[in-house]
Amino acid sequence: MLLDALNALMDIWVLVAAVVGIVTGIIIGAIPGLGPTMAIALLIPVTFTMPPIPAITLLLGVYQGAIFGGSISAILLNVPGTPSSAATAIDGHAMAKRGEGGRALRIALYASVAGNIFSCLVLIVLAEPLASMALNFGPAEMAALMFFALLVIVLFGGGVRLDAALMVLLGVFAGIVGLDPIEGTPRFTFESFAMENGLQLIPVLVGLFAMSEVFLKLFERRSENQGEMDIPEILPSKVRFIDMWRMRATLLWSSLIGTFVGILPGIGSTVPAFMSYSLARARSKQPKKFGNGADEGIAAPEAANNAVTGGALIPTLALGIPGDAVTAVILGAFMLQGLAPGPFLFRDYGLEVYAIFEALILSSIPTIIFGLLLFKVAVHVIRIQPRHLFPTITILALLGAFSVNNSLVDVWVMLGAGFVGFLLRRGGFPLPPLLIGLILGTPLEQSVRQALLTSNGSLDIFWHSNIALSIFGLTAASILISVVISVLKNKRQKGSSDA
Amino acid sequence: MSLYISKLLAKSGLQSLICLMLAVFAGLGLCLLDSQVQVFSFGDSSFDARFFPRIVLVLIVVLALLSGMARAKKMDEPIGSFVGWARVFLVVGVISLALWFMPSVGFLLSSFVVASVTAFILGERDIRLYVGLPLLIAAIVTFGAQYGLTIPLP
Repeated sequence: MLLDALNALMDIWVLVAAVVGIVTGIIIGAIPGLGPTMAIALLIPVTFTMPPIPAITLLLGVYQGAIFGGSISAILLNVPGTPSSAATAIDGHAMAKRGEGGRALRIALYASVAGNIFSCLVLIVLAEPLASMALNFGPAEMAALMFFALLVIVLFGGGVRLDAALMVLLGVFAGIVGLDPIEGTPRFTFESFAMENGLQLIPVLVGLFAMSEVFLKLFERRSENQGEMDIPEILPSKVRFIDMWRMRATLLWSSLIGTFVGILPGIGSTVPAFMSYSLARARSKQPKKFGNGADEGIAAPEAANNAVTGGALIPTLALGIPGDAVTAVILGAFMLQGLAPGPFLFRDYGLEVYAIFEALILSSIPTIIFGLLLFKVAVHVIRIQPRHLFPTITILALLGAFSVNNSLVDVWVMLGAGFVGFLLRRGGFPLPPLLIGLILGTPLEQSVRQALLTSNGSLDIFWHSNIALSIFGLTAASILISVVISVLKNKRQKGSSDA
Repeated sequence: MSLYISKLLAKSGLQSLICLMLAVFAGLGLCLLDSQVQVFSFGDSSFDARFFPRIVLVLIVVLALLSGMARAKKMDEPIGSFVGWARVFLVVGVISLALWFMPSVGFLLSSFVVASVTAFILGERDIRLYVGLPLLIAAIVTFGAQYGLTIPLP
């Protein structure tokens, strides 16, 4: 299978797609405020007419590129392009201020590639066995699994748990609009035929992540010029292989953390980046160097946040449960290509999926080449004014929403989702739980109702399944861990305020 | 009582308002459930098309009220400046109008108007950049989508 998949990659368009994706990702990621989620959502229409392998390679290239691109503005401006680059900014910007911005960017690039390769290897090893295991799941087991995934997002997704739970439910409710999954009864369609298709994923996410950003920018319009920010000069510098080899343990630990946190739904890449940074500092013989431009302070978070890419794809592809907002968007792209993520994906489209995995690993080569070439271009990109950029995003959002079904109803849905997203973001409510709730809501309802209909309404169907019971055990353990973490955090805060 | 309400309103902000709106909308959804989800069964199953929405809507009401009450005890996110809201509503209005007229005037003109107004409201005052640049981008996107991606734009 792996060889056949490699053969499928011998197509010039796959290479072109990977390069275009990586370059676009690096450029978009470098612009503060534009993240991989928005970039992928806006680029999905471009992939409609493409075959699945180059289409997904392009989007995953954007993902890879944008996560690294986020570190460019973090290092040069101390403004993380993506939240996950915030940890990189600590030592990266300190190094850039010393005139070693080029060195910091090179370390970030090589560490990003290392983290990505590691996580892709884990993805290749783990995804198919997990999917094969899930083939034995019935409705009760699937319901338990999806309930567990939604609960983990609420418990460990960061922020206020009540808000996250509210957002998950809002997402689930958005998924209810349209025909019901068992009987095909219209629900909350207000007798509109167009609404029977429900709220489509792509228009909703374009609205939530792209249009809401435009509204936020309009609301917070600032008079100062972004281009007048002081960008340190990038002097010629080199990072040798031996410099990276010295950090092999840090890279390995960080990649491990990134991959395995990535597998857990809803946590995203910011938490593992900071976890890796803390671990690297704790393991270092010179912890005082951290915060003042330490090599490992850049390598650790970058390896971790890039390793999340592969980790988050494991549950997304094997179970159809997205790990974070970006993988939720990628899941939508897979569905548009006719490759429905879930246990049957590997059985029905194994060749395409393995080709995509291999493309992810092989695209590390163009990432290094174009990453190095784009350092200096990125400095100019960072200077683009919001008033020039956001009108373009608005046009692309209109196109992206329309192109899903060639329907203006979807554009109205996008506009509505954009306004709702703006309100929720201004109110400090997290959007990823809403998106994941929207994706998992329908299959959760389907599984719960199927299970209850088969058992004539008896809940015993959940207790008589060992798999479902194990998942409920994991759910209970997650609640317990979350309570313990909260108690410890409160104690620490109380202790520090008393002192 | 009135003093308590005025104190509560003074402390209330955007987050409480959003929670209240969510609770109201979910409550309305519960009221509309029977008319919006018409189930034609013989009464043999309670796990029909209304089963799941009912649970979700009840949970939204409960959590939104809990969240709102929790916020009422703390300082809330301020609703924000009137001018900021006006800018957002203006662009929402322009996009709505553009969508309304899009079938007759086409994607190119509608998206150009939207982008141009957005650029102007974002503070662009150079006519080449708030008219010329949006027109160029709208043209590239429209023709690229129509002829490159074969998307049948209005």
